[in-house]
Amino acid sequence: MAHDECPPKRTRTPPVLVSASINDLDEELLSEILKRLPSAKQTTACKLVSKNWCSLISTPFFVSRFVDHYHKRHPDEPTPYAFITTSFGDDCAKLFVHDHAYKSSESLMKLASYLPSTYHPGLKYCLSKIITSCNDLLLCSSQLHSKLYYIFNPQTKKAMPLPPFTTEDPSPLIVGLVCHNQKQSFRVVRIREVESTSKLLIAVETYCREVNKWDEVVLEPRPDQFRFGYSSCKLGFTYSTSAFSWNGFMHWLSKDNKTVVYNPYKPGLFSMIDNPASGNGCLGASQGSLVFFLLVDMGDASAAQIWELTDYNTTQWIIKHSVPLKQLCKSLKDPLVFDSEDPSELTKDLKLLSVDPNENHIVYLANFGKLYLCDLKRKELEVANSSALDGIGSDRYGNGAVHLMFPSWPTTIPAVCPNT
Amino acid sequence: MSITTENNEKMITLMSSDGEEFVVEEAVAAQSQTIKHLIEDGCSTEGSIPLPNVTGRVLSEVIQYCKKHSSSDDKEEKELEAWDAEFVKAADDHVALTDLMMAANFLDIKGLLDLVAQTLANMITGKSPEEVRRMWNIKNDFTPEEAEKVRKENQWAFE
Repeated sequence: MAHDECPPKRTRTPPVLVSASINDLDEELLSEILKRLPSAKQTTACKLVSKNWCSLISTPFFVSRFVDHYHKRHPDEPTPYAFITTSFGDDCAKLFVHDHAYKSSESLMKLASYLPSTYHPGLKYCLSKIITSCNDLLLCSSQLHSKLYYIFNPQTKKAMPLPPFTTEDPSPLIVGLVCHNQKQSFRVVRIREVESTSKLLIAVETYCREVNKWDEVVLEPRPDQFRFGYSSCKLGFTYSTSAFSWNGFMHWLSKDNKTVVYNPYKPGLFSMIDNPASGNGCLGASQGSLVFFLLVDMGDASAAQIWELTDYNTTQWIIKHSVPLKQLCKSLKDPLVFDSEDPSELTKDLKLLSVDPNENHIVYLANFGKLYLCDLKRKELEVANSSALDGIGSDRYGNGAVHLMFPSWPTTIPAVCPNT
Repeated sequence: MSITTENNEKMITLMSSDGEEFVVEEAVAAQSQTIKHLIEDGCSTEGSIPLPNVTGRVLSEVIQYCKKHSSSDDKEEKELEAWDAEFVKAADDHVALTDLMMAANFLDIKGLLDLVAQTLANMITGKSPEEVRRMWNIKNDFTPEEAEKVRKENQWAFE
């Protein structure tokens, strides 16, 4: 280093009596400092410094600056991700967190214990089930009081009970949760069929965060929205299904091999996208696109495939990976367990859990209590956890898993109690 | 003090709030967007620009930063980072970093503002709210009940 490049040595100047302290900084400059803290957790802890700091950190303005700065500083950092499962009769939810190195760690969480005790006195001690998720929020209900829904953020451990919905039917066909991040709002949607003698009617019940209440609309879908008869297919929904939420839309697979898309902020419009192939499949989002992971049942030639939806309008799926199931099974030391020797049944004994949101060639599968990581690029299947999935994956229709992201700033849940 | 360099670089005189004068090359002064715009708008009468918000001590630090950054190009990024770290450490002994930050903001020198803000953020990192208050003499204006409420509402951040 050349001499003139070093900061020059200075002699100490006498102290100046008046100089600005941190208390003199305006909001603009104070947020310049606080947005540079390494994590939302550290920044949130700073709310306890003073009232001024607390009110600044609590504003959406500050949060958006923190988030912008965080992503500028870590441009290529994948969003930490987990998937979470509950099983009936189990006290806790199991959380599988995946760090950037694809090491999984497991933690247990007694969801209902975080509910405000003023809500439903009994509910706090009831078992919970997770219905679906969106970003970092879970939609849960009590296993006993299934009319009582609540929203839960596992990161901040904040729960917010929703008011009970008004209809009698507690088991809709489709349930979804969609968050609107900019507005810090969310909607919960329950879709069911309405009995009618002559035509197909669908009731869509929507909880709207802004007004804190449920609202119902009854729709008569146009024939081109549902191209199958009421009596034969009944909407094409399989059984009560949790919608996969991404990009502000709810998505689910219909019985006649379509992906149904619904926008709860624009009620009344369903769009149907023909799936590229049929089989045991699940929807996910990875690397910024909707993906469809499926096990194509072709007997000996059965394969695991990943398709990507390039565009909602052109409804064009492109294949990203296709690996013969046999090749994947060969890479395993312990063989998978199957109910049947019939090769055409093989694909049905694997429970598809989740597609990694950061790497579209990594998927998670369950088979009789074991969690598998399947890498379709390396064409390998490996046991990610051998005992953790008790209660899921042991049967075809058991509980699946829901996705959970850990954004740089967790979604705030207001502790609003229902009016009733 | 001569008013042109060997390269015939135009010189600008900056005057601090306490009347201290600093003669710098225009390219150095133009590191500050505020000064750059003043020069462009012809606001420097006979090459002298008064800066009523910045004391001489703070301005002397700012000028050091600007000199270094106007003479370095992007290729020396690593070296410049090391220099910045040394600079801000030394500056902390002479002036309040908050004064330096306010000057960087007023003079619109993004790099310096980033540097000082990050340094102040690093000082907070890993400290408890009590330690942050003590470090910067911030008054705890919460009643014990209010503090408990904030702690309870943000329990996750304190675990």
